[in-house]
Amino acid sequence: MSFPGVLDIDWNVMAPAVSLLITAIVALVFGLSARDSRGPAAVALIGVLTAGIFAVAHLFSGNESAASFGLRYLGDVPATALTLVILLGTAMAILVSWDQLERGGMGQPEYYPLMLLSALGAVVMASAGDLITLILGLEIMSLPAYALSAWRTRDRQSEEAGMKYFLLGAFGSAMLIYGTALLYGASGSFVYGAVAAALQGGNLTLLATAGGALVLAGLGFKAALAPFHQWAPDVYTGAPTVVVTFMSVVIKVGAFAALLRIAATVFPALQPWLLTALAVIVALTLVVGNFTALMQRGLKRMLAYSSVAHAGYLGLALLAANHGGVAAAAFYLSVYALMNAGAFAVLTLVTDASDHGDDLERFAGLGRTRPGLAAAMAVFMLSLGGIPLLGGFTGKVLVFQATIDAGHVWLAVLGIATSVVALFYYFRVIAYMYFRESSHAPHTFRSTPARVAIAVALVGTVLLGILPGWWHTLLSVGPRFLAGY
Amino acid sequence: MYLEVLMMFLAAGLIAAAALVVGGLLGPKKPGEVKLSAYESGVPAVGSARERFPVHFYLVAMVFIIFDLETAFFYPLAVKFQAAPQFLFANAVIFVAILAVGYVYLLRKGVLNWK
Repeated sequence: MSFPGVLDIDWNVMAPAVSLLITAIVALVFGLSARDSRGPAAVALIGVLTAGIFAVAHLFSGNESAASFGLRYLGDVPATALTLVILLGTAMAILVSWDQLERGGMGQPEYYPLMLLSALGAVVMASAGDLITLILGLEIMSLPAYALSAWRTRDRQSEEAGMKYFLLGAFGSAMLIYGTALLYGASGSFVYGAVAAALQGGNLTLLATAGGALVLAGLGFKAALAPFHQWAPDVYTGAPTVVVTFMSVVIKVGAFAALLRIAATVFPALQPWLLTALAVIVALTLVVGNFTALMQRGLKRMLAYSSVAHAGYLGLALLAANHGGVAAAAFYLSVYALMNAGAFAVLTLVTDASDHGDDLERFAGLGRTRPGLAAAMAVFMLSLGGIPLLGGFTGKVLVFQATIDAGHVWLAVLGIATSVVALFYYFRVIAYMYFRESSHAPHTFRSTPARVAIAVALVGTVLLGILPGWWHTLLSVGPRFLAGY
Repeated sequence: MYLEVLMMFLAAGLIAAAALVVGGLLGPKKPGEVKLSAYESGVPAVGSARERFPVHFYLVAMVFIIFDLETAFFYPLAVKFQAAPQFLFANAVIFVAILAVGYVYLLRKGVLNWK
């Protein structure tokens, strides 16, 4: 007996994931004997950079039809580009955690290995060419994230966050797995392209549509799309801010990478009402995320709802997956990773060691006491709000353009309208930093690695705003998914 | 096609429900202290079942899971080994190496030290 095509392993495609796995193991062994958590942090950072070099090398090799395990693990442009975004988010999270772990008494040696494994799972999700690989990636990504969100032991809020995330995440995983089973039952295959091809004929549509709906709901949980977003604010508030820096970027990229691929291949073959349902979900996400963020006082909670809102904008790209939406979403995710991780990085420096004190009041007068930090935060807020000349604006324009091209004009209009609402809560942070005197001097934390992360995010956000062309062109070179046709 | 299965589920549910309802309505009830106490293999019950166990047991269970996984992986591997000997051997080596790291980790955590 032979394994048809399964043994074909292209190590260029696998290299980023393999480097992450090896680094996680090395960091764990090294962490057991290390004095504090900074040594393992360095190991983790080196591993992520190595993986990044492999990913860049593969991206520029032009070999976009490379795949491993018989189209089950892909190395096309979206997969490699999103892998890079995941690695970028992980590197920023490592830099932000560098000093914060010791400061908050969270320096257990398992932290970085778990983070690297979670990033590995996200990379696998971004590269998955079939539903089984997707489920494996999702679980590899989620399980460490559950543990990480409860990282602050003996803190009730952090424990609650971990428990909540675990229960709801398990629920989401179960729906995804059930949906996968139904899709397999309807099409006889796990590979996206083969599923789509089998369903094109229109047989067993009820079974397939139920499967597609369950897959959408399961991944919607991870991506925090509107009716499935309930866990996000509580987890973001309770989990340590350094972990949220990681989660808000990497988990979102992983979930959307998988959703994009499925939306581009499987969904068009299913009942059209599924896409209508997705449109309703996206509209709901935009409204709920933006309007609830408006009412928050705590910055972590505000950023949590803002990340729900951004899931809505990314959801617009899902609906336009075959009209340039893939490149638009990949671009948006790149900018989102930079500006969101940057904002959380600033937040870790402003809040207490226990992560408490994220109220807006804490930011009053920051423009005078820490001008650099305040300026960086202002740029991130403006970019998140979508102000021109910053990356967030370019991302939004690309997404709206793709949405209109796909014929969802009313959704694009809703997106633009909610962007205006979003400006209010982002500007409020800036107003507090510059136009309000604080009653007490805010004591902030200083950390050089975190400053490096903020600088990288700042440069990236501005660069993608002023010169978006090169990255978007690169992403558009291979907009077609290699899906196993 | 699946109607028979559904009917079987219904019949099973009905019989179970009927047994409970009829038993509850007709059965004699003479409760006593001995009858109401929890059954622990015939020995008088000692304390509550909701005891706290040392977290150490949990880690020992993890050691068990590590070796259990190894067995669970090696059985199918042995059966299909001839299909691709080099590939599967490399697979097995990598798998054992990863498990070994887990074992070393547990040892360093002091799982086998009973003070």
